Amino acid sequence: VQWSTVNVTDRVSVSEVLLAVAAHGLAGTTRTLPGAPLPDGEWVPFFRAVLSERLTGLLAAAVESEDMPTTPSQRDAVEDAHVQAMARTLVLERVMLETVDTLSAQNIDVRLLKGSAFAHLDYPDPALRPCGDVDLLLRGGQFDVAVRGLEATGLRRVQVEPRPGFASRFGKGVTLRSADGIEIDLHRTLAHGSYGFTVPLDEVWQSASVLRLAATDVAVLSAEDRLLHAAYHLLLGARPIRLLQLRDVAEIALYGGLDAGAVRRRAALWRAEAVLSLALRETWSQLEIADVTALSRWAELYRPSESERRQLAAYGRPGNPYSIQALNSLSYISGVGSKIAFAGSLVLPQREFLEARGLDRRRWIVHGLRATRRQLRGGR
Amino acid sequence: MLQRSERTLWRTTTRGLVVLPPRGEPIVVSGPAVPIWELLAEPVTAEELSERLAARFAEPAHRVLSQLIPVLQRLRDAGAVVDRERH
Repeated sequence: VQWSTVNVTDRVSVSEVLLAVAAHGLAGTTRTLPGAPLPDGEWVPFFRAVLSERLTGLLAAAVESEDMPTTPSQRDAVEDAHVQAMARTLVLERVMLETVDTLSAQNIDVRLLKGSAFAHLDYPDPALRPCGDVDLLLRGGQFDVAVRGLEATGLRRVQVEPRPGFASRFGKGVTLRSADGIEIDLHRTLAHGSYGFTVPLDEVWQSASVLRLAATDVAVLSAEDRLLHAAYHLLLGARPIRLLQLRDVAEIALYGGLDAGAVRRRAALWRAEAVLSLALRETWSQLEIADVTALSRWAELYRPSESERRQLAAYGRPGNPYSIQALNSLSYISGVGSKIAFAGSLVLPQREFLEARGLDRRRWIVHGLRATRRQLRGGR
Repeated sequence: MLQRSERTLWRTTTRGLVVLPPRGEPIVVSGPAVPIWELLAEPVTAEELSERLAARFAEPAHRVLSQLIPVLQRLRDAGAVVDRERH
């Protein structure tokens, strides 16, 4: 029998190293990378998580600067993964540019969201920030025409709407997929559920920045709106929180050259102060950013109202997203006719919508009632 | 004269330059790809390029040129580099 000892304080937690990679290079972070290469038993789950969290760019930078010691084979794996991630990102960027061209030719307005916009405008080097798909914001009034135009190029819708026209009127958006598996998310608004209805979309469309990429000018959100959208994506999107989303918020908040007062006024216009303050606090806390800025100080002091707390709490609960939408969005929809149309679409959706979920109408209603009851009981 | 195509997308990595021309698959250019790509921002001949790289890396220009030509040819074939007139 071979005996050995391991000093438990020398063992590093994979999640702590991941957070240190996510924070690498940020001014004021107190997170530290390990002082020696990770042993294989820790490297394997760590590197798997790096790939799924899309932290290859940040890890490659940490390895190149020798802040993250690695064995030669680990270094090779990081470099290979970074090249692969960048190749994939460039392909997505080309698809994005082709999509923008197609839509612009039909006089359809577009705003590029997240991925490439963050990478080029908010990161010091776009190679730090890989992309996973293409995200575009469209006007509700042009939404269905845009979807049909893109479907004509061979893209296919991933989901069926509850009723025709639902996405362009009430939905967050739709996902289209190409034959080779590339996904294009077309957004009508910037969050699902109630927050999606309070985004002042007319104001968002009026203020834009421009990203020049491959001889094409692509309109993107203004820096203030990019920060708010990054905060929405962090807190109101799919769980668990992705580390790259924390980094997006940190990059824009720390280096975006934003005026704190202007950001707060914009957040108030979006009715997003609670989301923004919580996203900033989460980012500063998870990435252990010691530097205090005007925005981080404001976030620390901001106290959400009871209604803001209730609105936010709905997003953390498991369950059917349609029942969450139904319960939390109804009071944010203007006009009785629109409320009836919204509720009717969700209570009595079209057959194709139910078939795509393997449900009939009776089971859908039972399913919805159960989810609604869970929601009303606070997600228990 | 050669110049990078303005429709080409690229990123720098520690393995070199990842280039995506307007059509086709991504290409990885290893070695001193980043300085080559920087110099190709303006129209330049292969000879001028090799002289500048030779000065930067303290190598004989003819040796740099012999290594550079296949790389430039590959980039041109892919559409990442195009022929240009100098203005």
